[in-house]
Amino acid sequence: MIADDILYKPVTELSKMVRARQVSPVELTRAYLSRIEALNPVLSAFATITGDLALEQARQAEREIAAGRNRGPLHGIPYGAKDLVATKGIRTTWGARPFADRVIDDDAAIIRKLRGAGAVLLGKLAMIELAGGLGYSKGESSLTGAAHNPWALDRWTCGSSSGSGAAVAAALVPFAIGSETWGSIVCPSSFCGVSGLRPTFGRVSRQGAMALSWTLDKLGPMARSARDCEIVFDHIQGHDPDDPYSSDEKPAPASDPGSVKTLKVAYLKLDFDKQGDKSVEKAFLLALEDLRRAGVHLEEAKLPDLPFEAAASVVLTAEVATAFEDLQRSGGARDLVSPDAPLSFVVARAVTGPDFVKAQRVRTVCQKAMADLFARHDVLLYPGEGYTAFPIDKDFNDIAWSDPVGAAGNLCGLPAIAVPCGFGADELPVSLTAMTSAFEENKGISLARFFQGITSWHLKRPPLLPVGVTPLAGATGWDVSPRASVP
Amino acid sequence: MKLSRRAVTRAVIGAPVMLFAASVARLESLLGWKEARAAQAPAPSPAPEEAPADSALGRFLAREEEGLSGEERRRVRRQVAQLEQALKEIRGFKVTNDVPPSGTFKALRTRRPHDR
Repeated sequence: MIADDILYKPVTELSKMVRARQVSPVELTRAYLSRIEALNPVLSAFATITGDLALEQARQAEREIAAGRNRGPLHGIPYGAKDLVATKGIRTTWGARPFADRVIDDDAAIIRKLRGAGAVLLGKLAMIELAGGLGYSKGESSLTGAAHNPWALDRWTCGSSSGSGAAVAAALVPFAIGSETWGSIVCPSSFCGVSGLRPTFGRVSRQGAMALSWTLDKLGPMARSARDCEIVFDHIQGHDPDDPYSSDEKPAPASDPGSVKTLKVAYLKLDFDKQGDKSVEKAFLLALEDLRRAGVHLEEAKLPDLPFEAAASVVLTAEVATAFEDLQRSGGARDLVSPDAPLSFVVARAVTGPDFVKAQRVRTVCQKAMADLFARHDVLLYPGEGYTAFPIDKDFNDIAWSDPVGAAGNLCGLPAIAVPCGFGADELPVSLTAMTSAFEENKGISLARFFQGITSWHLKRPPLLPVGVTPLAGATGWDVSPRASVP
Repeated sequence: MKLSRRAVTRAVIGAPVMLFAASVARLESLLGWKEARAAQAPAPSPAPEEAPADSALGRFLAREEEGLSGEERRRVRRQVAQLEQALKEIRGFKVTNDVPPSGTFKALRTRRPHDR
């Protein structure tokens, strides 16, 4: 019997235990499957559980390890993948009713890479329908309903990588694959108190993944620590000629937390008087103070005053409408949960061809401006989200929420890593996000690892979730003062 | 500043959206864009709460689409009006001839079995 403590261990430690034969991949897989069986009915984190496949892959890993074959740190380590990456013989629903029973006869490139690394697929993770591409106003807009936040079951996980956030936070998996077009890794990582890496656009092949926006979509890892994200990223990055947008840049060098004091680190002050939760700002500012006290020199930076959100919106609107035109033609969009979904195609007609090309030209200006910004700074820090997790049935119409920094990062294809940095007034997680220049993931990961070396927010666990018990926001009762270890 | 449902949706992955307008800054370091950017006058557009709930294009699109309920037509009109704010920003943003679109077209080489 494997204790919950083991299931909450990061990949780095699980991997050592597997290699030292302290725990077997089969035992580990069985333990995660048991936890999934107990908690998934409460969390709705999984769309499909692949127990038989997982055990088969775990047995293979076990045989190989016993025979002295080592495929690396993910060998024998279980994981979950957002249900927008194709998996041969397993349904791939894209979180949407029209695809509820669809089985694709091939694995996505990222699944093949992880299989090659010896990782064990526990299942497909729940997501907002079509990754939110056709619009939604509630967390329930998913084939599997709203994912519940393990920190407080009456709160949402954020989306669209909803199940990925919930599953990592609740230790149903040690790591997950998520995707981000605009916010879908950073926001669930922030709301669920886990670490999430949005790689540079083109770093990770999207072959076999649902296309929402060809020029904005990225796949990336969500895990228990920045180091774990890096390990997974190392295994999934790399050029793929089958993804026309795949980059042939050299792989990112390894991170080096020891280098952080020599980096030019800047931070963005967002205007919390206009929108956001002041307790989130407070947690972010305290995190900056921790970094300063640890010897990191910080200076304030400003985001270039450019129409990042407008350009991203126009590009996205046009790409989404054509990405899902088969659903429009078939009438399948009417089967989606969100009542706005079928209307998106009508609204998108407001964007003309010249508008789209113009937005792409504005994008060029934005890219140059961000490249110039990162000529002066190595890492840009900002709060991942301005809020903690929303009530699960909240209608987004009622929330003031703009995201110019996320827009800039996604429009320009820049990497970012979000890590937990404290708690808001409602005792729900808040994140610190580090964005860097394109193809310099190592710098953001270095900063995040340094931060996790001087604080212990990433080690905090949500309240235990026995079935039938419903922790609510503000009633979790755990220690919220892990700020003691700053040297 | 209160944003619309579509703005929030976009923030957590994406859909067309309305935007509050940002005034446009000078970007002196951009090669080739300096002149155009210098000519750019800050032109704040209405805050979302001031955004029109309707527009001629929205009315047209809502009317032309078959099979929509009255409520759906109202939502289309509102969302088009919101999207038009983003379009207004993009259309009003001055770029000179030397600024290409971000996407790069590449000729596609034939891949034959023996090339692998």
